[in-house]
Amino acid sequence: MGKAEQTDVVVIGSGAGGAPVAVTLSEAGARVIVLERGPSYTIRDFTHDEVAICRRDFFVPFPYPGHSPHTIRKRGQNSYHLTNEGWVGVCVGGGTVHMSGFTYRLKESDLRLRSMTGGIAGADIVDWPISMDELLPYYDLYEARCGVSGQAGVNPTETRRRPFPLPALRPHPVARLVDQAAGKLGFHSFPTPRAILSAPYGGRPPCNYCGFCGEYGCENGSKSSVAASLLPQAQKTGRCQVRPGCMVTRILTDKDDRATGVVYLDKKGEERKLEARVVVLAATAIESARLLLMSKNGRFPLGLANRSGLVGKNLTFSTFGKGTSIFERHELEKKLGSEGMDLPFLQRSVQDDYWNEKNGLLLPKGGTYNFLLHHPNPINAAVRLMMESKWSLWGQKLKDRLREYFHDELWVEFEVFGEFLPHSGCYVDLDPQVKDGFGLPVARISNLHHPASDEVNKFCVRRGMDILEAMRPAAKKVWPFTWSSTTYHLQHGTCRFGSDPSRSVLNPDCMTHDVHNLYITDGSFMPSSGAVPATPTIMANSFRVAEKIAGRFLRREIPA
Amino acid sequence: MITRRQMILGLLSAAGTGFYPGLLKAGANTLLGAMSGWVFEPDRLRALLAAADRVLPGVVAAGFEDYINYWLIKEPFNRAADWKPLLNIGAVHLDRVARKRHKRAFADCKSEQQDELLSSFQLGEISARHFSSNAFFQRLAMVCAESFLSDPKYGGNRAQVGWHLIGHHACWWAPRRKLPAGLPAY
Repeated sequence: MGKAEQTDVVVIGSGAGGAPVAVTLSEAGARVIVLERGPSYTIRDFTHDEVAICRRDFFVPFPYPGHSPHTIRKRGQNSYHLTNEGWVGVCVGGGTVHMSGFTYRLKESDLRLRSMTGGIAGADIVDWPISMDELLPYYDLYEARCGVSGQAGVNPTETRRRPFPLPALRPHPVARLVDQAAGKLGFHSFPTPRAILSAPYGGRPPCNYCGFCGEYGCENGSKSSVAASLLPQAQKTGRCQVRPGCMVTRILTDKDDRATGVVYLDKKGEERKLEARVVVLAATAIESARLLLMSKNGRFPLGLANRSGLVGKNLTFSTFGKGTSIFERHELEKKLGSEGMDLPFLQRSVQDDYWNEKNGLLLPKGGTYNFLLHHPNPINAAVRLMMESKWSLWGQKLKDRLREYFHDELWVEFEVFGEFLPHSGCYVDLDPQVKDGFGLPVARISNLHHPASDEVNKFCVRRGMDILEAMRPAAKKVWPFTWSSTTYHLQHGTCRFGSDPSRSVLNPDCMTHDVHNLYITDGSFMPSSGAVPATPTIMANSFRVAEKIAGRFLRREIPA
Repeated sequence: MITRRQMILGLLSAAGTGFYPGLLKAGANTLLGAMSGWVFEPDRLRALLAAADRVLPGVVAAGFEDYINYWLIKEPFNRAADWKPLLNIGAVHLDRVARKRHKRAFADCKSEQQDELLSSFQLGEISARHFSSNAFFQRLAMVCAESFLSDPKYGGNRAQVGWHLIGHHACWWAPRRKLPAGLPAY
């Protein structure tokens, strides 16, 4: 290891949690170094090559020993096996690069789940130590800085005071049928807010409606990933460096329990030391917990900042359900006309029963229903058709079916994002046997669902099916594709925040209770998952925390 | 499909005159694969190609051999370490079961016999130690779909026949752009 380098702030991870801190603090005058273990891609690297990008390890590592696997144990399994689940985009910009960009906000009921339910047996739910009023201005800030499109005032459950910076994206004509069907059942469908530009914004061009958003990087620069928006803004200050290919292996602390910096392996695999006045950890809920557990030392024998023993506990994902319907293209064209039939986004969501005391279940919640068209990926479509036939679809039948699927049918689907209750059966720790390519223990995930989350998810899938079935002209086939499954790339909770150091890892400002210059700004802080994808919340909170850190710098509370 | 003989002839012929350049390139790659010892044994390859053409007719004419014999062994694909062994052992079992039932190699069976054999694999009826016949069938079907519908640069969607079948260019940025008329109907 060479001579240590020095900086004001080191940020570990360049995604949704890291980038807002990097931009805020570098603009405030601090020298910031962002260490990212993945490569740095430019928009030239983003093609629609399904094999390379979706079916290999472009964004997430292969699940083989010697790469960077996770190990996982799911419902009904007794042992752990290798997986790549739980990884989120390993590249500069993190998961925001290959996200679909659904930008729903949390609601008051998510932050007050404990007091509003009175507690649920077997679930470790707590209220958030901050109020929605504290978070709201930062949602606005996130939307304005990155560029989010949507329509305000049409979602009766929404938590916003300002309009969206950009109008909603153009919807597919089938959105009219969803609106009618939802209206018939007493729901209010609204245009899905997206982190995708509908008009030029911040020097970036608007969306070209290619439809390759989820799983892909945007070759147009219209998706508001932090790599397209915040990181260039941070680098423009001249005080922020983003270093790809740098894997942090340890966070260092001194005898006064202050973080002194990090040790990392650079692009060439050489070990380097970086000293910093503030360390900000934002490597995803799973990987941040892993790094803290790997950074244990004499003063922190259970893992860094883990005197509460809660690092890695209370891991939550998002429960996931999906229903699918198949429409005849020519029938739709008869009713809706052919204009816009090739548009890729359905762009409708429903959140009416987000808080639902009438559902008769233990958890009085519903979820977020996101209506969308099937992804344009052709290989994925072929494999899905074969899988759904239990692999009996092959030979000439397969070719005929493919032709029918792409020429004559339109698949309309909904996804349900649901509350994933934290409980003792879902956590992450270090695998005692499996090591990654660096020789470090990999994260071991145990994922069991709380039965109440599953009940709600099933309930929501039935509700969504009602909407699909109420659409006219009627679909030729409607079926629930899955329910009570897990969306692994939405992850939270492994270092929850709270006021009581014995019951939380972070304080309300997302500083660790045990190390007073170590902050965590990815999804780890969230004590409850909410029933929406968490990316906008992570970013809003990261802006909030960055302002707190900047305030401490200005008040000279952080020693040089 | 290019045989090794064609490929070597192609390489020897003066700069591949009259040779489709992509084919020459693929041939060279296959030769490199053969030299590095990664390529499937000829008998196994023969069984795999015959099976693939029943699973997704036309896939072999569209360049399936190039796809599995070159791209599956190239970075980053070769790092998906379990693909090749499963296809390899599956090919051995295809021939073994075909010889048992019809006294000839899988590739030499009639189409109906091949279909019947593949059905047994698909349903997981073939029992052998450390081998799951339905897992092999599923992997083979997935590789067929990948080869047929992926970017033609991987050699398996030659002249974009797969995309022609489904009527849009998955790799072009334009949404569901229709292909120009006049391409061969597959």
